[in-house]
Amino acid sequence: MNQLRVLLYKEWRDQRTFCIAALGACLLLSLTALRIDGAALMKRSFFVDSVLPVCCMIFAAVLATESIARDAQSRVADTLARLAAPRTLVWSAKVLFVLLAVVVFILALLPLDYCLTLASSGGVLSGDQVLARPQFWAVTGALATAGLAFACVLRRALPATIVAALTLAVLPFVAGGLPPCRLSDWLYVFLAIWSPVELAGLACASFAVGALLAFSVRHADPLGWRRAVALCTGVSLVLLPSVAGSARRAWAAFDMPFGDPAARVCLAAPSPDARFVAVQMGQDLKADSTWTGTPGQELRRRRQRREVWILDRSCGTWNEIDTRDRELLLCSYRGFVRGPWDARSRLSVRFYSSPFVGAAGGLQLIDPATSTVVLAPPLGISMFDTLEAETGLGAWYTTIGYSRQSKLIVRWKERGIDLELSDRVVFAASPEPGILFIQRENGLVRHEMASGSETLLHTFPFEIRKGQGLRVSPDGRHIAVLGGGITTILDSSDGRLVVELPQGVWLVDWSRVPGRLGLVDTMSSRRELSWFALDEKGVRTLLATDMPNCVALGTDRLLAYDDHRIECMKLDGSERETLYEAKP
Amino acid sequence: MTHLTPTTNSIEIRRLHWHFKKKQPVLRGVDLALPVGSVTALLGKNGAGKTTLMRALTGGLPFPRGTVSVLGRDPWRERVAVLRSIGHVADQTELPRWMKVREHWDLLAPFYPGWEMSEARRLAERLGVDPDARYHDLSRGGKELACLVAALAHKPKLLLLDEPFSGLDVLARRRVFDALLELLREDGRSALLASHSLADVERCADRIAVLHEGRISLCGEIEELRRGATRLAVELEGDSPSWTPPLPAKVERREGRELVLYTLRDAESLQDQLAHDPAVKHVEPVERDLEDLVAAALGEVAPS
Repeated sequence: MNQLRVLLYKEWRDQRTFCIAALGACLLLSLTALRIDGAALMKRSFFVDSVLPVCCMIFAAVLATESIARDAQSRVADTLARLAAPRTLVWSAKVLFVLLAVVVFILALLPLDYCLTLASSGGVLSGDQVLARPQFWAVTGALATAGLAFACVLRRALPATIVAALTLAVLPFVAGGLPPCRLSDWLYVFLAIWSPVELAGLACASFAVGALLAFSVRHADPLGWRRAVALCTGVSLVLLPSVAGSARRAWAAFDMPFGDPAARVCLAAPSPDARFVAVQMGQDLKADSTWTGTPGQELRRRRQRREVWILDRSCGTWNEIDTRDRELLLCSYRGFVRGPWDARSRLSVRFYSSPFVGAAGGLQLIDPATSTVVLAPPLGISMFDTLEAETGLGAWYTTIGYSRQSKLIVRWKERGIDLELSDRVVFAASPEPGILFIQRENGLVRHEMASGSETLLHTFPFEIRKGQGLRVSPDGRHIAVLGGGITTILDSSDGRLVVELPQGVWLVDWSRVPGRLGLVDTMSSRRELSWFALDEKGVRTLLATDMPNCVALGTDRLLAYDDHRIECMKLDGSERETLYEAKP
Repeated sequence: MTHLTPTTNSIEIRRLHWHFKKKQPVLRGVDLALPVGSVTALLGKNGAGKTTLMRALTGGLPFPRGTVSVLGRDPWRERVAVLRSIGHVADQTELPRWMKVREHWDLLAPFYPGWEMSEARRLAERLGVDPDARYHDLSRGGKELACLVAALAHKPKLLLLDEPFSGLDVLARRRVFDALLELLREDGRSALLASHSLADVERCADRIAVLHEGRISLCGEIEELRRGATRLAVELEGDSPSWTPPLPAKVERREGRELVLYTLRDAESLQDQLAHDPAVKHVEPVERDLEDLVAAALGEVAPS
């Protein structure tokens, strides 16, 4: 105990001036901030939320690196190395001193932090001060131990502090910047499993062990390679088992097996020729080392996983592209709506650079017959540009947004004609080039860009809903308007009312069958759902399914599905066939 | 590891090798034994490897080949135990700027079981070290004296002194020698002293070991070496420029028919051999000093 005491005293005497000066500087800064008033209120808030925590982090990092570098630079470290004391004890004294000093420093600033928070928030204490958050403590600890570790190698305070900060910051950037590969997947798995506090704690532990090993190198070379190797060894000793253990079951767990009851059918989209059915499967995973599928459970630490499976109806086989996370690409972008299939029966999917939803994504075009990727533009290339260039199903127009001026310009690409709209306006584009449907003050108008003329189609006593409020049929002959709880289907050329669907009846999907408008559902209660085929005369024909989702499959069939089952049938319910069913 | 009997050797080094890089060997098979109770001076040129050897003895270097034993322990594996038993004054000791001599003692005391603060005060008084002086404010000699006090205060069984007297004035040197000799008079205490000053060596050491080209080229008690080493004055019968002495003698100086030869081994038989050489008119031994011995061991002819 005496040994530790004298070593702690030595550290205190070494760093006393710095500690007191740092505390004084923070107090001075805070007093200056307190004197600022009125318009600078925001600045005070910024001060409390950012400046003080950053000061604490800098203090912790500099103190940690200085505790090693000061001795190394003054060659006191050589004298300490000749002391009849275990290196572990000397190292422990340094770590303990840094820990105590940082804790005391932050605790000393906490009352000040509260005062400043009160001052900047007008006397209301939110109880969410940054200095009191576990994340802050964990990150500060990680920064300090990383600084300590790098100081053991570099023997200089400033480079060690910079390298420590960069090292801690670089991992998420690496994970985000790497092209999709095993390494980036692995990093994402690692980052997804651990919470920020746990990650920082892991960094603390790994750098502490690395620092101990680097500090214990008795015969060091001038460039510090031996210490660097010792540091890497120490960090790996903690980090590798943790990472390996975390990602142990990742590949097996993430890839949804066929029929997995934890996987649910999110979306089914038949190809235009009805030969293929693309199915988007989804699964929630509990973010821990077991990666248990958790259907229907709301867990705070869960990750979403989605995959696209393709059914080839000609041979009845299911194919998966690979184990990457994907979803069907449904575009609804500034008046432009399209499904996942193009005219050549190629499937558009959005893929993610991690095994989970939420990472950087990109577009891929899939050949459904072979389930292979036929086009994968690099990340950063606009998906819509790619779609336009590659699929030929892109819009005939493009839009240019000016967020500062709240304006949107719709440009007819072929003829270079522009139309300026407010970015709040609801509009939809017809498949026929040059035709737009726009909600004006007096109602829905048909705008012809070639001549600039507008024809009033219909007036509505309500605001048309944004997003899905205006939907043009694939052939451009009809337009569905949703608002006030009812759906109105108009003839797009003259505004003639074709059908008005009452409340509770929804147009789900347009039909490509001549004479038929689309599929509608009625939901009187959650369990009583009925599906109808709607023809141009407004006649609804009851379909023989009560599943929650339904789409047309070719001209004479229906694809119905729920979370765990997909079936197809004729419109009258005959020839019912189960295409997919989860295992019980 | 073999534990030596404490009554045999305080330090035992066998075939110790060390190199900084593959092409830069420093120690090439050093063999050295330091008997208990002896004071051995380690001599050698600058860069001969004296400090490296000292570092190996204090556990600062791993040695890939050879064995090192200090007071029966392996200094690399049992560094702390070895350091507790020895007193070490390194060639350069740095302490924090704020540290006073007394605070240095406070720092050291818990780590050395035999530490006696009264002994430290007594030594400090005797060597003229002010316990309340800041270490950083002391002169070079003052720092060396302070370090010496710190190295002696726990009454170590073995002293390793690396150039400890280089910054001392005459009076301080005298005080240090007295203190050292007093300590070494106690039973079983030994010292290894690396130095360039032969006057210091002659004053306090009873043995020398010369480190040359990575090996111990000369080792033994000083008096015995003096007796064994011989310089011979030879007068030739006539001008015989091609005449060379028989091995292991070497020509130190030649002026016409008069030569001075030296040898470190088998001097009597060499003298007999030369006496019967027809080319030699007269041969007689010349008195030698320690400097000649060391110079010869370092591969250079000492000035006459």
